[in-house]
Amino acid sequence: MSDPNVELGGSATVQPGSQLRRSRSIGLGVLVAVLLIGGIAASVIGIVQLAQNAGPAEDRIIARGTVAPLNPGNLNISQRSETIFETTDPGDVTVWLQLGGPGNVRESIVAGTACALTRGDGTTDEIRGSRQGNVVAVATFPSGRSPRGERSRPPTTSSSSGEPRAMA
Amino acid sequence: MGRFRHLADKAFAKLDEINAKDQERAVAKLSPAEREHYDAWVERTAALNSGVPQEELGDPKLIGKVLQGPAGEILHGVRKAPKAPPVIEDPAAWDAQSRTELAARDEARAPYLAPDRSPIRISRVGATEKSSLEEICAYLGSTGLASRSDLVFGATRVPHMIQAGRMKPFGSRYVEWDVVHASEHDLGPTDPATAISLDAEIAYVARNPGEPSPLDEDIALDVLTRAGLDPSKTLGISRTLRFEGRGGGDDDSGTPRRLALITGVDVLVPGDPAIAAMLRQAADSPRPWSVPTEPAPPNRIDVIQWDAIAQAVQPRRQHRATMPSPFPYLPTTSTELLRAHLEIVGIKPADCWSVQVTYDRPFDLMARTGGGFVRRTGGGPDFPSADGKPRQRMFGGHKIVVTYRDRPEYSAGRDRFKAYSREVLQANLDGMLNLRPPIPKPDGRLARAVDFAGDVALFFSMEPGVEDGFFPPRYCWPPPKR
Repeated sequence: MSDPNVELGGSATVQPGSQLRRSRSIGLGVLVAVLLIGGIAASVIGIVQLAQNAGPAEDRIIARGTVAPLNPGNLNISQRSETIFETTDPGDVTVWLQLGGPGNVRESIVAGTACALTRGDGTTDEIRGSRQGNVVAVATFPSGRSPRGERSRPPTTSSSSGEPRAMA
Repeated sequence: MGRFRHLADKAFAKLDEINAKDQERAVAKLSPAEREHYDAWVERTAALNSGVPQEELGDPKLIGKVLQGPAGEILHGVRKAPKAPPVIEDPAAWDAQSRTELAARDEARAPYLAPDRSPIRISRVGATEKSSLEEICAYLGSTGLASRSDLVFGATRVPHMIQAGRMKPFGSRYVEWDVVHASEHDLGPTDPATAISLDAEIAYVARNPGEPSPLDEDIALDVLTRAGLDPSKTLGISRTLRFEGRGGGDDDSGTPRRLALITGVDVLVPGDPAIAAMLRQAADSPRPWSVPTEPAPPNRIDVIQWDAIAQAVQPRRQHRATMPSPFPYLPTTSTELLRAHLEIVGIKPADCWSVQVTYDRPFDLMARTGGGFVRRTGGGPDFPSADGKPRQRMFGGHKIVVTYRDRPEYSAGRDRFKAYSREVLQANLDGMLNLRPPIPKPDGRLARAVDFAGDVALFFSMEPGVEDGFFPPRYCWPPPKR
């Protein structure tokens, strides 16, 4: 709605002959730039750190292994492989899969991964990835069910590739 | 028996006397607007009692209302609105229709115009809120108007809230000023104007409870006249405007408000160092000042209603005015009505202290912002701003205030404007203004103690309290202690 009674005269400070100019503080501009760049850098570093530190801490890893080569062509039941590791730690043991790819692929890989547990007394147990809701943690063996001297064979896989890590 | 009757008559007479005194006291306590309403009813009742037919007196629903005629009848429920034609949404078509209607209104106004009137130009400029006074002074200098104050009617803050829905750091909001002047060609740059601001929270005058509160212009006129200045040496008196968001939470029944508050008055004069020094000296003089309750002759303050018209022509303040207008005889903008007043009364810029479209009491802009009970700050289109950038805005302004040095010919002009208001606009634009309401009595010690205790209790209960709805009168609060 333009008001026909009014002439739009521009900004009060941007007039020819005006003795006042809109003040721009250089110090404030530098401060804003520093905060902006610093904020972006901090965000990037934070995200990278978060990604690197995802999963268990290095000093808590008790074993590593590759379940299957990271090759889509190996999504084949006949080429499945397994990683076996042992632990004497009485605490819980969690098996992690380090995976890439889209979320639905990762979920399929986890679902196709199984962990077999052999305890020190010879009893066995199996936890199937298809029953896990998490795409990263495949199985957690409670300490009550993992006595010292247990032997685990997680995980065997039918269709996945990845590197399981176990932590105590 | 006769003696008993005599005693009864005396008792009834005494009761009548007591009732009459009570009535007198109650009427004396009415605010100016309430008193005007009361007088209108008394007048109507007297007319009815003297035999004037009811049809001649009009519908009682319109008593004390600004708008009469078709707009008043429809807005105040005397009759239903006829079916409206489709509203024009396209901006170009809207502009074309607006200009057609404006031309018809100009034609209707022509017979009332002052024969010897000044040209009127309204230049609108953008500024940043916190430095707007300094910027407008610079603008007046850059255009040369600062040294030709005899050509300036007034410089005033535009009462619209621009980009109301956006959060802005304090003082960084974009605002606009209008400079109303009669210069028809460029004057060339000169020194910037000078301005002083008077804070409404300072008691410049000593008034007792019950006495009329001063207008912002009363205070500014007092300073200007003590400084030895006349309207030809003045660039404007502008009420200082601040928008404040209130409510919207548990503190106010969930009703959000955007209040337009007057926090003081700015006085603008030419940048001549001698004039500036005189003005500052007058403003710094010891208080309280002896300010008359009405401007001393020949000065005069005309106040006319605007918001009542805006309610009729622009039902949602953040949208365009309805086009075709449901009441095409009414102006669609406050500047059109301001121009009409100046042109009809025939005021010369050299006689004009100030012109303003502004507010008086705290005014809630959230009224008239949506359909039904909906209240919102946004939703409308972007409108052209003075700096060329389109922005949303809530169109505001409650009253038009023109302060000038009176002359005999202006009296005839005022009669013409009254006739124009009555015959063309069919409105009582100078009615129900509620100017200079009486100063309230401050709370006593007990009330203050109770309030304080309540505040402390609310603080520790961590619950928001009901917000303080008391806005003290400006420039005279608190009243002097007796």
